Amino acid sequence: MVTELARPEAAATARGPAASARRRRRSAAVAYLLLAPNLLLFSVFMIVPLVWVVVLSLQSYSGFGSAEWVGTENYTTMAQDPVFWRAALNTAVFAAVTVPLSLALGLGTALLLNRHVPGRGFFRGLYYLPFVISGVVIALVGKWIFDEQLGVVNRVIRALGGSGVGWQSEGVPALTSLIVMIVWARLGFVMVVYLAGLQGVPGEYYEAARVDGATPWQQFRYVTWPLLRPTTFFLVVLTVIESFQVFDVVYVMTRGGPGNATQVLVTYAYATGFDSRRQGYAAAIGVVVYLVVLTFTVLWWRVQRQRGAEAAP
Amino acid sequence: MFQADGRLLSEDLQSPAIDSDAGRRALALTRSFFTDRLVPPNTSTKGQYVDETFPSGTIAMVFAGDFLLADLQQNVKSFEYGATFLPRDRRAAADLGGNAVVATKDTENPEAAAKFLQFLADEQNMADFCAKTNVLPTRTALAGRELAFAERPDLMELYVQQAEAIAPGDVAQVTAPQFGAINNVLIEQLERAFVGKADPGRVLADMSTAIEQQLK
Repeated sequence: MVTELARPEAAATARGPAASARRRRRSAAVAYLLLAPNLLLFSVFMIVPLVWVVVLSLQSYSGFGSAEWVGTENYTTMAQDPVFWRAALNTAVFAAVTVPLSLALGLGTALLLNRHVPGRGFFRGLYYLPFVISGVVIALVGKWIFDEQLGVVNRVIRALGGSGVGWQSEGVPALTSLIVMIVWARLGFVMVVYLAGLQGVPGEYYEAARVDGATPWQQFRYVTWPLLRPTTFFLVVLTVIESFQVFDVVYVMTRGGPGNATQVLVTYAYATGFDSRRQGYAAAIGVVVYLVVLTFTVLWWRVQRQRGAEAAP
Repeated sequence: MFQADGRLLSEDLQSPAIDSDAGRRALALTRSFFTDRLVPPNTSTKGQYVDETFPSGTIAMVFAGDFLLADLQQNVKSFEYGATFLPRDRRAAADLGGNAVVATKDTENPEAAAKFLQFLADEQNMADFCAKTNVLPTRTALAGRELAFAERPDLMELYVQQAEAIAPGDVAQVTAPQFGAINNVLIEQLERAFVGKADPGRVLADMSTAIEQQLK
């Protein structure tokens, strides 16, 4: 009896792991099959170009004829290139100004449009509109507003007796015009993410705060702002990454000028790769931008994971 | 530069020749357009194109190539305009303009590439293309031929005469294989002189060094 009882158990344990491994393999195969189209597209459009860029960054190549292997020369040249450092500084300044500005304005707009105001849906759509418009169109609108000779702003200033601002011929105004257009374009997205965050804040917290006699500012300071911290962190990382990738608006509005006053890393990479035809050097700049963006992405991912672990029971 | 009878590159096209008396004169004159406020400050080498400011009547004169005539015809609504020859210093000169079409010798399909180049450079094709797009032909065979230009044929006659000032020696310099990169050096350095208020002597010296690097 003992042996009879033992047999099916032994058979079950012998069959069990094998069967479950088979099941796992089969389900993994199905998962990979379903993922295959995405993985294929991801490899073709992301992995292959990425590897290609890294390889190209170690070469000297004009786009014609054959490439010459130069090792890390492009990177050592970059370290001594004042225009590269100027572009890096401009990009950092650009991020340092546009990120807090778009977050502050986006949050303000979200707070306003989270209330029951007339035409709320219309205004939400209106603020979101620039985000779905192509960057080139944003830049053309920017040119129409800020053109030194024909732009609306300078025409108004001249009509009021002023001499106009050097939006394209002076560094600080040129950078300011770009910041205004980028913040305008980004505002809608920040607003929508904050709106989603605000709608996740339980109404009871505000009721409790009001019962405790909290003023609207105190309610914002001690209820809304702390509970929006994950949203803010998400937006900071995302907008910093976006700031390091900015290209179209700068290229169309100022082409990096006057001088290199508005040159950012991606416009410099473009000018180097396609105007000077130093595609290896341009690829090296691209790798640097990639590493900066990667650092912020990893930082975001790690913090998100940490938060997830803390939230788990 | 060419009008000042100077050279961008040496005779053998192997070294820069821009840091010269002619170079200094040419740079001083062009820079004075900006310092004397004769041109809008945002029309420097990295600035805006002037094809909007002229039709709007903001500026009274413009250095415009023949290829802009079609746009001008479409956009100039409120006044009549004419054209005259480029200013000259020691001699008359003009820029060839345009870009070269190139096929590399290592191309995988040399026959197809040659056929395509032949198609582009075919006498009749070039005549048709130039007439329709208002640009001057580069084939000498078309030099004496009267083309039916689509826009302002009256002004195109003047452009044809101006093109006679294009000297082969000038063409050799602006069609050197490295000219694309050299052109970028010119854009960067001239911008420094025009709107960056950099010292012209310093700019010419830096320009010369940068061109030398491109020629290596």
